[in-house]
Amino acid sequence: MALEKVNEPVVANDKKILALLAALLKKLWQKDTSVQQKMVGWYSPSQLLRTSSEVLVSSILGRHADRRSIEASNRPPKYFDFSPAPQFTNHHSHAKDDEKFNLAAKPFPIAQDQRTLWIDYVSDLGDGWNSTYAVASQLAQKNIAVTLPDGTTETLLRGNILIFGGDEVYPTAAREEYENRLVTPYKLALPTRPAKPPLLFALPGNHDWYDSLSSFIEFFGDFERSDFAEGRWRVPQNRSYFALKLPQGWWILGVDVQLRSDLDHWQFKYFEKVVQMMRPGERVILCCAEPYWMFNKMYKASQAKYDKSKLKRLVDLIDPKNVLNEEGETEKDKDKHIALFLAGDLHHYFRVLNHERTELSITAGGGGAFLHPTHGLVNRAFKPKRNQSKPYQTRGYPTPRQSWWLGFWNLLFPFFNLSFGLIPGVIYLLFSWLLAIRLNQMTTELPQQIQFTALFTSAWKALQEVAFHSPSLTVFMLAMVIVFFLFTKTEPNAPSFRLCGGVIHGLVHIYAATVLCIFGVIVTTSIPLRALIFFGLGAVLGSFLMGLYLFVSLNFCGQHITAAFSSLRIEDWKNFLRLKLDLETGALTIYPIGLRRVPRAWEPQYSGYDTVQPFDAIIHNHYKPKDESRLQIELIEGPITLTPHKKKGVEVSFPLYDLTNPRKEPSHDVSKTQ
Amino acid sequence: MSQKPNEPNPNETPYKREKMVGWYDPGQLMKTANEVLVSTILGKHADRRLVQALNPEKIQAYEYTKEFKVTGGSQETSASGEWVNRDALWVDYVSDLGDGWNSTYAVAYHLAQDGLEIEGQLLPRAQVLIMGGDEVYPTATSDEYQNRLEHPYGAALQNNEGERPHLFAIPGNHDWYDSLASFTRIFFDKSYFPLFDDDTLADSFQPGKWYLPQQRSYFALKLPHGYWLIGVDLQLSADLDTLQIDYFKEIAQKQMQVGDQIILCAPEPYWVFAEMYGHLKKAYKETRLNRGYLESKVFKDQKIVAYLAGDLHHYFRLHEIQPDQTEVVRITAGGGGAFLHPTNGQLNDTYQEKRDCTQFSFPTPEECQRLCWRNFFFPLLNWRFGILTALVYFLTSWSILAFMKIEGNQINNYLDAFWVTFAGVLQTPVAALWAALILGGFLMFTDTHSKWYRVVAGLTHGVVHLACIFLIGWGSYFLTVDNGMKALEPTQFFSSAVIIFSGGWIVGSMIFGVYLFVSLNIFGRHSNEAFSSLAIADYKNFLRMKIDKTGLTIYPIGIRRVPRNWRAATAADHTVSALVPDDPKATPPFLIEKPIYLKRQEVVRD
Repeated sequence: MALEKVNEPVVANDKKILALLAALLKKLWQKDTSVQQKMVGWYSPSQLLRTSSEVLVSSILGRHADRRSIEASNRPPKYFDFSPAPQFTNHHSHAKDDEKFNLAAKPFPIAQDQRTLWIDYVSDLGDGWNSTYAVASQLAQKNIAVTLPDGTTETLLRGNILIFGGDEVYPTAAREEYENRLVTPYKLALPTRPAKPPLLFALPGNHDWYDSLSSFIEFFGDFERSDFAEGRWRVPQNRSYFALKLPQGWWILGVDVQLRSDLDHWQFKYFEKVVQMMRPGERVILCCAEPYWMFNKMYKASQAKYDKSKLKRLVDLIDPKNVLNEEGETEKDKDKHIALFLAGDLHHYFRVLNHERTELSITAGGGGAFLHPTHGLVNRAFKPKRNQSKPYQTRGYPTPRQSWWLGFWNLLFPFFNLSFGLIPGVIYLLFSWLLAIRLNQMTTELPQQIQFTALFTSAWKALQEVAFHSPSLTVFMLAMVIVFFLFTKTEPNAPSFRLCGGVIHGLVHIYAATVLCIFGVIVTTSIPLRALIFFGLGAVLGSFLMGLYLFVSLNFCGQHITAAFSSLRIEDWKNFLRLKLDLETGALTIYPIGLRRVPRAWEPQYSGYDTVQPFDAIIHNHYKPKDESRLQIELIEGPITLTPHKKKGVEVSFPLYDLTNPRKEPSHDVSKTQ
Repeated sequence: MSQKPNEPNPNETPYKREKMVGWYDPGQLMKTANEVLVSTILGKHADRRLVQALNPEKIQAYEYTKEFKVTGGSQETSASGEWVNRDALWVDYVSDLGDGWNSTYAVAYHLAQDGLEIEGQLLPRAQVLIMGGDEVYPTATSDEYQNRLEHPYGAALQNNEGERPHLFAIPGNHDWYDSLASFTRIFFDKSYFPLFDDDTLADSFQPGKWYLPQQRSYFALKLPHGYWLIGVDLQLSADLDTLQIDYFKEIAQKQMQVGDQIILCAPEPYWVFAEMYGHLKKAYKETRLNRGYLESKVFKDQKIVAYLAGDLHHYFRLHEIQPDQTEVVRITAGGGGAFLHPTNGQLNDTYQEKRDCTQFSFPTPEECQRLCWRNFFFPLLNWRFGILTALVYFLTSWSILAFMKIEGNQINNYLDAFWVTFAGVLQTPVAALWAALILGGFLMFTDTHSKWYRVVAGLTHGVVHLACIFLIGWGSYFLTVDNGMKALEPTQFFSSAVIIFSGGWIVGSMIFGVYLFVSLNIFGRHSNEAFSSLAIADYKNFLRMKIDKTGLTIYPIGIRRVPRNWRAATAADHTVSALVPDDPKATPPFLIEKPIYLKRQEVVRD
């Protein structure tokens, strides 16, 4: 409202300008209390502090008091049966007769006339309003229309089952954050409560685990039948992991890998029972909160950890010849088959398909959180190598090239993360202060006026002298290098990069601070003025160097995929998956839906009225983008069809276009499609 | 495993052979401190024993009074039979295991053999094995359990085809260092021990393993002839929790008979601690256990005849005739594999004067006195520890030398140097604080049980170190400056740094060893620290117990020297184990003292 007034002819009215300024200041300083949450500012000092303390505490508690073992001890294990006619066969005959370990079926029979079963998958949601609500509003529509590559339009129905794939809330799990960032957008996205609410299954990701799952359980697994968003979805799960038995021999398994990327003992036993119930030839969709197949290729440490993990044991138990990780093995008849791996955690769309077109894995973490890059290690992981006879085919959204250009925004790091400057400011101030005292006692001669080269050479000399004469400053410098080295450890970057990148980054900061110190000493003798220079310039310089470091690390070394993009907080490029299971043929079709841009401005609407709770109608129960054209969905690729196959288990096909050149954007030209 | 990769090693087995834990390794010190801190907080605020009690399973004792006897025909042809009362039951007790391979496997090996022939007597393998606490060292993690406990025990019983023994375990403080997470997973599984990752549950009969019936970290076993075995969980040296007491009350009221005899297994010898430290710290005397809560409130119609515990890694037996003329035996037998604890020092001092009970220790206090001399080799036994002293020595000397340079003092002899240093330390707050920190650090390390000892010995220890820092620091200064180097130039700096660092490494840890030796052998303190530094794998022990109609017999079995070499077993060895000893210097198991026989005793009801 205030902004509209700017367009009015400028009247010599000081009051108006003052009011405008006041409104602006208010907007800057006041916390956003409306329903429209901002994106999480990961680099603000208070957030950094909060994140690190939550991570520390929850990882300790995750090890000492794993919530999953408590769940397992007092919640009866069950699986969810969606078969048209529930069968009660005794497949687990070698199970010990002990109630604590046996699974009970919870039937959800499908109506006789239903031809298709729809499943939605969205992951990494509950961040800023713009992105989370944009995705939620598309998921909640009764149907959406997408344009297929051949130019025709297909109508996709809202999922009978909605799966939250992990990280339902940011920055860390707390009841208010869940309410504000997750429940409110989803509640407003579905203004009227459906007569037959869709079922919701949720997997916890690391961000849900940051309060040891306390809030997650409250929202998603508290009772036999808890409701999500005031009854708009139904949540039947009673543990943090689940198994769904679908018609036509399909299964969906959702595993909870907690904070240590692995299953716990009791969960493994649960899935062991589930696998015993599967019959030969059946197909599994495995949902995991982390795309471990990506991490395994990206980081050596992850592969080593995975090889020892229970997760691998489970994957091998279902699908003993899992070719996604064992390339070059000949294809054999399989008993059971993991047809599709789904995960979030990386907030982009990245699909990997093996050469034989039997193993499909999709990272689809586009529910609302900041965008992750698809270039760097992500793209390198499955890039065809020279001697590779059976290359993988991949597709990223955004494409690696687009993502690479987005990386340049890190050169403007100080503007994106204003308050982060506080940290380098304080460090630079302390260091330069200590050094300035020392400089008087040293033999190094300082240049008399500001000259570029002299500044740098004298800084180099000063550093050399300090290294031997001042234990306290040397320890300070060592601590700085160690801090920047530890920063590289926040992600499983390559060990060689950690050492080089971390140490060089630390040394560059020390050198910059020394130059700044000499600059300050030359410019002025006034102590407060010097302090101001040290702090102010330190904040800007330090932030800029940080951005530069992230830019170089990601765009040239491929490392820091999270740190270098969480700084940008890109709201666009969202995605979710819609799956269609044909109940007659058993074919599963995947529609990866993308939102290239999300609207930044919204208008409240009063379109729907809640009949059950009339007072709902009083508040805005729906929001609409101010500019409708900004909210457009597109089909990222595909649709991808998984057809049951007797020998291979499943066959992946892209019926509408050719995949021989996966690096090339798929053509939308009808004539080129098969 | 220094074998060349090409040559196949005939003794190669899948089992990992771990070294003894190096408690003085700086990394280990940090890890231990961290784990103790975290688990103590969590133990207080989120006691897992409460979660266990949520388990819907019925409260019930585990029955061992009957056995299945096959009737008619041989075992192969007919499976029909009936349950008959047992004549006798054998129970093994081992505690404080899961440390180095040699010691842990030596004990596991002898526990697992079909029979143990000692002094002409054949003692068969027990039907029930009790692990009495501290099943793993240094701290509880899945990997440590697997490498230090499951591997040796898996190897020991690998080829067993006979009767499958049962296994019960109570957790000690080391199992509690991850709040019992791994312990729960390994022992509450209702399956077999040990299970490795490549085992599948599908082949349900795995003969070379123990069976695990246990569902909580405490339990009651009903043995034949009115005997009971009770295992209690004391968490981190805390006490019985209320739900655990409820559990035992329910068992005592509903399933025990008046006059039943009880063997109590506790993770620590609380009676010894109360006697040793009770006068220094009240908390040791005032636990529910020491106030006789179990005897007077829970098992009031029964009689606890034997108390067994680990935690102290030696054998120490007390035999008391109580005022009502009944006999009670209390045994500390923590010899399952962990480093040896001394029996001299305060333990010996405390019990030497007590005349109302007989006692026996293995090894004897005199032997321990001799073993303690090994602390003079502390720098060799714990070579990594020197990093810490080296760093402290180096940083202290450097800051003083840098300070002196600024002042521009010229010093020519040690006396001058001493006064200048002293004045320097007093003048700069940083140096004074640093010196105080060093003294405080040594004070913190000192034995916590006696206050006066802590202050006097801690300060002395610290001052000796400070003096050595001064001597080494100035020594290096003289050595380098006299040879024509300029103070604080790179060459002088690096050469004196090397001198101070290596001096601090060797001399610092040397002083440490001497301090530990003096503390234990002269003042009787630091019995834990002065022997954990030695990590002695020998002098192991376990108990084999027989319960029959007449009473309870305890055979204390010791191994004076455990084998250092092992070879793969062959058919000629006639053994259930995968590896057999291959060390001529090793000694066979022997009876530590003559078997302790406790006749069934009458219970006098007040």
